[in-house]
Amino acid sequence: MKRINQYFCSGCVAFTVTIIIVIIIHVINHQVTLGVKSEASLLFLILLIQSVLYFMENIHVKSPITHMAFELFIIISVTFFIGIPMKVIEIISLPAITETILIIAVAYAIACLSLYKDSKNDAKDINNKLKEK
Amino acid sequence: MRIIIIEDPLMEDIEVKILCKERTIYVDHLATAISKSQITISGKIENEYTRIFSDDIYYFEAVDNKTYIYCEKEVYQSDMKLYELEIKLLGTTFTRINKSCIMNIAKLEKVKGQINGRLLATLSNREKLIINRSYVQEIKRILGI
Repeated sequence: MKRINQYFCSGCVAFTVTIIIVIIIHVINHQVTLGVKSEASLLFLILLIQSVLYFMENIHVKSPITHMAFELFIIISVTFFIGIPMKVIEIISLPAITETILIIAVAYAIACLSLYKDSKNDAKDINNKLKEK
Repeated sequence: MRIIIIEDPLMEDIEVKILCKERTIYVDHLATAISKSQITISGKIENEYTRIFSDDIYYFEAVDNKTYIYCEKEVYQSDMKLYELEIKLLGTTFTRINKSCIMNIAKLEKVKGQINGRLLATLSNREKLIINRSYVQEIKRILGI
């Protein structure tokens, strides 16, 4: 799969799964807040995650866990830094902040899992080709 | 297949003759492998310059504005920048795998997908290198996938 398609695909998967999780959370909390604004916020969040993933891939960190922790930290910081002035994210209470961070983490994890699946497929193709030689 | 090496002080250049019953694909492959032009890179070790054949190089790495050449056991320093090496080695089995590394795919033993979407390459000398997501397509292209 082409590089840009990988990000687009992982973004779509992350968006779908995250919106389902958000719906479940809101249904449990009896909140009727799902609307254009909340969905647009989520789309903004996913686009931000994909952009950070795209630009952060060249960072020279050997350990995948450290790399992911760093990426997540940057994503959370950038989301709050851009999201609050743009009123995409509203800090009304501590649970609301926790929920936002949780949604960011879930969306990031899903995007990463999608990329991991692609990398495993690529690794399989390359290893098969190397075995042939 | 028998290989006979004849040393002759009067010979000016290396000459290879392939004697076979008939010309097959294997013979053609053999001829291609022999005629493949070797690129040499100049490497420095303890202030002494050495010519290194590209086939002996595992990878190049840039650290703190210096370029290092990694062979099976030895590590040399190069005066060339990574982008210059990339141009020189265009069309060979060398390819960029991350911002600071050029790897020889001929020395690649296996790759493994990592949780962050990168690939972990293991070379035939057991060294491990990180392949960034953006360079995977080029590796696949070189390997003919």
